[in-house]
Amino acid sequence: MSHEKDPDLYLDQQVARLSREITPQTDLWAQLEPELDQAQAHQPAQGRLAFVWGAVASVLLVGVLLVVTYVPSGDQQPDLSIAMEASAEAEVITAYETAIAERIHVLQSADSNWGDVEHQLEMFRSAVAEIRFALSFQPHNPGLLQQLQDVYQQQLAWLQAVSSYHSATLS
Amino acid sequence: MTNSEKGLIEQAQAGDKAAFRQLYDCYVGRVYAICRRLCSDRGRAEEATQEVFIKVWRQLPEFSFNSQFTTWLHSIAKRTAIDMWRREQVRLVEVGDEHESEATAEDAFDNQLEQAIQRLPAQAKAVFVLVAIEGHTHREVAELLHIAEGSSKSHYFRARQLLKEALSHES
Repeated sequence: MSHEKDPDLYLDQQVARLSREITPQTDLWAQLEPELDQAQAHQPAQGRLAFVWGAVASVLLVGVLLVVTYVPSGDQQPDLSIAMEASAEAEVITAYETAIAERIHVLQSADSNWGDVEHQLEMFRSAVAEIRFALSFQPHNPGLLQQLQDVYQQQLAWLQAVSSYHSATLS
Repeated sequence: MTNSEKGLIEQAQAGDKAAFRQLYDCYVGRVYAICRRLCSDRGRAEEATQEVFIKVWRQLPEFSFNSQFTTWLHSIAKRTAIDMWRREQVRLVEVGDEHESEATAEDAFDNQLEQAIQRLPAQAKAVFVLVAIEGHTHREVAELLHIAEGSSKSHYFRARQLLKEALSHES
């Protein structure tokens, strides 16, 4: 037999003869079709998340540009204490961080896919960190404070959208 | 890609389930073959196949015809089947089972080589299926399975040895 002479060649020949297609014994479409309806119902939520991703990316870009614009050249070091003492910035942070923390806590206990949400929250946190870094150089810059407020508002709106989405999914 | 297939994809992108059904009919055999060879039993292969088509349905609006539809579909199928394969490995480790797939003689595996492939140790089986049947390089397999390229080669070598032994017992 050929495989007694060259087992490698025989194996390769047998592999080449394997079918590229196998027909499932079960009618998978019957089980699949209802799932497609559910998947379709989720698509608007995905579109909304894509919009939020776009918004976060824009804010990050603006943050990076602000840092590049406001970071002084040479050996001047940022005085972080100035930023922390800036009352306007502190007010914004206090107002939003508490509300955000509460919503995160509710979502965290209800959402089995918390890892995905956490990953997206990191984008917002990065944006906040970028702007706060820029504020450390220009603590009273109204444009930066407005940016900070905008990011927090977007984060709250996004958390609200995620909560609504999960409520709709669970109901 | 034929014009009729492009038309079907465009209709399915717009939410036409009948068009998607036709695409499903065209490709379910190919997708199931990938899933069946990588998964340890028929049930999981069917589950993975359904998961593939749900992902395709969800992601179809983003398909931009920059690549072949079949390439895109097979990529989703392979990644989904590998995810299922990986979950099986975790399950096997958790229950302290041996790291070998269940030997099966059911469904389409009346071919002796197919049955021998199913009896291979899990990693050797996955590597062999991806290299010998799906045509991936060891580098690609290393990325897909999160193993070293050298490990992929040694698993492949071991798989070939075991398969040659199995085929040598063929009467």
